[in-house]
Amino acid sequence: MPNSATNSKNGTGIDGDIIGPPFEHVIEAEVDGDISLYDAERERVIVLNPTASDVWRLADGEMTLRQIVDALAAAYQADPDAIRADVEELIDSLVDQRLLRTR
Amino acid sequence: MRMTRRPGCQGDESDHQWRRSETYWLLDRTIRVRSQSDPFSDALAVVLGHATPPHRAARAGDSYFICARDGTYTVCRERTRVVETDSMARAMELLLADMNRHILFSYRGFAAHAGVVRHPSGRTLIFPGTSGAGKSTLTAASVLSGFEYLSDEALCVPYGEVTALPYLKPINLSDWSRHHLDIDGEVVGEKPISPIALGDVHRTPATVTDIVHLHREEDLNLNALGSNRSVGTLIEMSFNHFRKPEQAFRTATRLAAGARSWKLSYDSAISAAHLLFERFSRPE
Repeated sequence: MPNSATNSKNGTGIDGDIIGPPFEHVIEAEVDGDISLYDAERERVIVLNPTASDVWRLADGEMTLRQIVDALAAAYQADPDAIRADVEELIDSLVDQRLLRTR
Repeated sequence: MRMTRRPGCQGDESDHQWRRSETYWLLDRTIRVRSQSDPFSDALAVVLGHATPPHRAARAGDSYFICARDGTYTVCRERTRVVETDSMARAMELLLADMNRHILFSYRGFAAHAGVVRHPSGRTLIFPGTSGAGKSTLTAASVLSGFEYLSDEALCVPYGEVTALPYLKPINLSDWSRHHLDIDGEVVGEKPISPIALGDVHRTPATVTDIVHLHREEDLNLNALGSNRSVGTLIEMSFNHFRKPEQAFRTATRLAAGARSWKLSYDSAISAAHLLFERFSRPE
């Protein structure tokens, strides 16, 4: 489980990291309210579930990890600490697959 | 009419007078087949006779030449020899395979492996699936059940649209499939069957309304699926998405968003086709 106070293996584990925007080779579309991604580098489609779709929408290169967690916690009426690890894990995965940038 | 000698054919100029010249319409083009053999042309007309050109001529396509001499059949596409064989059935098989390959390779829209049929109510179903997934058998069973035929092999959609173009090729059915569908008992391996031997064909583009995912299971069921499941399937089944990835993805998402997605669990194609016909006869 990544630690939010330190760098995770992909370097996305710092609350202050700006998350996004997506790489240029990633094309997105919304179907039935969920995001589908086309990774032109690997020629594959990734279908995000509703929660991951919400994370993706927020990962526009304007918000930090902490802001994304807080925004999701407010939307889902959840404790930020309870969802932080899952959000980090998801973002790590998206970064690891070269779908999302961080800085 | 005296024609120029084809480079792939045997014999001298005087041998190459074509006895027959027929024009067929497949997908977005006309295909002319010139032949020296009446039996060959007659056999071809049995499986392709339904594919006549529409009044408004489609894009001019390829010409095929069938030379028949001393029991040998030589099939050429333009100046390319496709096959030379002493078996008329083999020459026919490879002619149809070459047509199919060449037409689909040349198509400039979104194309994916799928059967396509249209219910008389106007709903158009697609069955995405790889070769061997059973889509030709289910397509044939669907036509026998009352659906109109658009294709047993390829969903072809202009980029940015949601309409399937008719691709009225013969339906290739294995011995097992023909036996299962009670079409004929001949044991010859895979055999092309004219769709009009089974039912009706649909000759104009049709809006895709339902995407049916095939699952071979003992129990017969049709259950709704989330439409986003179809996006990945359509791209996975596409054989040309790499040419224009963004347009292909946009088209796949438009198709998925505009259609309902279903999981069809079935064992018998006949029972499945009846279920589909019955289900889509009812208003939503």
